[in-house]
Amino acid sequence: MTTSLLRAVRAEWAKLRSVRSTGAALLATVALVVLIGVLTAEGGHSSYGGPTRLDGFTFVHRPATGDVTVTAEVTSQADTAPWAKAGLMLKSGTGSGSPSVSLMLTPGHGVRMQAARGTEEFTGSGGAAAPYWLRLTRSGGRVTGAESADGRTWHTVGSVPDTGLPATAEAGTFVASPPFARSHWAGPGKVVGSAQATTGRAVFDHLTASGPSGATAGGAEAGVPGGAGAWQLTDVEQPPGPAGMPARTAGPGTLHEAGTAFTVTGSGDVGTPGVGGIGQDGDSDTVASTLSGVQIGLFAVIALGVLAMTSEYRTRTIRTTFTVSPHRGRVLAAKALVVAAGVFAAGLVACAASFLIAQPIQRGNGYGPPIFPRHSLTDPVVLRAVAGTAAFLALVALLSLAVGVIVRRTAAAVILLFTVLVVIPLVAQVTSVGAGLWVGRATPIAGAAIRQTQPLFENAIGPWPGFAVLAAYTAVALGAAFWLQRRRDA
Amino acid sequence: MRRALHAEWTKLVTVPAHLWTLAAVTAVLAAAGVLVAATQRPPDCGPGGGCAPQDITALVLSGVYLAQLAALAVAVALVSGEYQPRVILLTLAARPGRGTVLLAKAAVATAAVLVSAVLGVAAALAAGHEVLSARGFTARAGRGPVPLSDPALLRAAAGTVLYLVLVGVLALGAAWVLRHQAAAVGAVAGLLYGPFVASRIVPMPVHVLHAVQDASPMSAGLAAQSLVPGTGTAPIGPWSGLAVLAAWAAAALSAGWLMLERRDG
Repeated sequence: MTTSLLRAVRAEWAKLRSVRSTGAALLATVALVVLIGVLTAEGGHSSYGGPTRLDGFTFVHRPATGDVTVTAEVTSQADTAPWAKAGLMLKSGTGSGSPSVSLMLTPGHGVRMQAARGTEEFTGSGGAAAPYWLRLTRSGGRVTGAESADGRTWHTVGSVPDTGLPATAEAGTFVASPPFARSHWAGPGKVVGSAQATTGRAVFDHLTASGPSGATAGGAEAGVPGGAGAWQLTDVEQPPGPAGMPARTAGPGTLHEAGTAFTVTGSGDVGTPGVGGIGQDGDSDTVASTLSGVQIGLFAVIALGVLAMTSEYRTRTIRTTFTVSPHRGRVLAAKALVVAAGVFAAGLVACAASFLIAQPIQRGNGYGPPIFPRHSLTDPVVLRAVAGTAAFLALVALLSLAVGVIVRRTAAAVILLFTVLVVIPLVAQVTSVGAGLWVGRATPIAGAAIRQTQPLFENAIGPWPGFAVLAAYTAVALGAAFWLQRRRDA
Repeated sequence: MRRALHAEWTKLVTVPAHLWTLAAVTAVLAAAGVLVAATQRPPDCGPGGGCAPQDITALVLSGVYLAQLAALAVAVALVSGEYQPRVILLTLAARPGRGTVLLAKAAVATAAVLVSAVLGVAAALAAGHEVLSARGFTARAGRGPVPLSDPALLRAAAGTVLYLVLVGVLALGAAWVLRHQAAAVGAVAGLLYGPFVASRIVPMPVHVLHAVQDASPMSAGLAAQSLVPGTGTAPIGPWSGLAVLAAWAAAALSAGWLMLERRDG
């Protein structure tokens, strides 16, 4: 059994190797992937022209002296931008740019904590969403941020020993929402982008600022003067940027109290380039962009996968093949093994080379630290993207092989695969944003998501779910191919 | 010539696959028109208006991205069918004037694609118009679909039909050169979509991007679809864009003719 499978694999390997078009297709795949990756890196320029620190938001605060614990439940947060922020803050006064420590919930990036004038960032639970509890504790010079899904079990997000806060700081909640680039489809292949200021909105409940003795916000003990209703609203305004910069805020914030719930709206942003999502525009997945050539390298992989099967039907070699190796399932398994291994190996070379060549070019074009971290090939996410993209190409080859078995005619199979993997995604992207997302989630091209390394707003699907979608399509197609091949005449 | 035309016509209509593929050109154009129209939302321009108007016509005609694959498949099949088995030897024995054979095939392919494209474009526009109206693209607030009698819309419709016909001729020429069906289909599809996809992925300086778009057959040819000249897939006028595609088609057909004249069947 195993020896005959081995023999079949060897036979298929010999066939694949000795056909000129195989080598040409593999070479074309590598060349296209690397070429497009390098061209993409050459053409992309990043220059962050904004301020070096962003500190503009709506602050609902009260003074707090000495040790203090601020707690609140963010009961809802409007998804106005992936990096919209709603949370707690301890700040020295209410001026923009003064020292502060903040702990926040974001719609797209979970819980984050910022300290050291926005240059230090801690990452909390990535998938957190409102309703969610946040707590900032100041004890001596140290400030600790903690998060909780239920208000009972707390997990520390980060702890900063020296925050630069004065003895009496302002404590409370804040809301900010950065402007984001909106794209309008103005016609096929034509996108009009514009930066639009957004207004974030969040509802806080159970907001308390208490001293070390555990008194609540209602009390005036332990360094927290004033009673209920002493919360004050301040618009912390970002100083205006250079002329020509789009407005960062959409007007002053508001505070609306209903019982214990505070509804706060605010516009602006908190952080420094590289922290809090500042400076990361739509194309900031630099690793994925070095691998964008697979979208064209795909053409050659489709041809290779289809021809591996249909050329046998066209020349009727298949009869000889089946005579020599009557077990048809074994023949297909051997073909699948050989094709997948060959394409994976070539894809791995192509993707690794593309990444290694394109990344220095990107750095030269401004995609460098601190906004864009330096990646190495051995980083787990980069490894997933590079090896995963090679595996994506191998799956496409297997899908092509299976469609080749089912359709048996080269031209028809190539057109079918080309339609599904290239044309439909293209038409969907060109014609409507919604259709593009749907195609990116539910059709085989979802597998291309494996090259993503950043949870970006425009991603249709996550890396592994997308890969699983393609794997499922491939498995179904291969299953159908096995079944049909067994039933049909050669 | 008349008998050559008759012969080629018979070859076209007696193969069911050819007729199905031609029907697919029409069906895909119409279905995509309805689907695309059904997914459009009227732009939220606010009471004062002032948002960029969408070129909805081109969107409704975007079935052309798919339909052209069917058109090129028919054109390629008309030629490659001669080589597998080698019917071409009989065809050429019956009609030794090789240019005549080539022209007759080109004429038949043109007519076939023309008819299916006209039907498909008309259906897409009519159905798309209905769906768009139902979805709130009304003449009030200036968001209505362009009336079907608008000269710019007629130009876009005629441009789309001509585009498909020219893609057919381009594919026919490539098929005479390459003879092998899959190779010809792959080469023409790659020539059409390769530069188009690449110009969307690779960021380039504007003048390079415009040069690429103006020169590549698909981007330049589809510029004929935009109601406002130069605002679509390429910054080129509608007729100049089609002229670029026509040049590619003419080059392919001449190369095919040269190969046919010089090669041994």
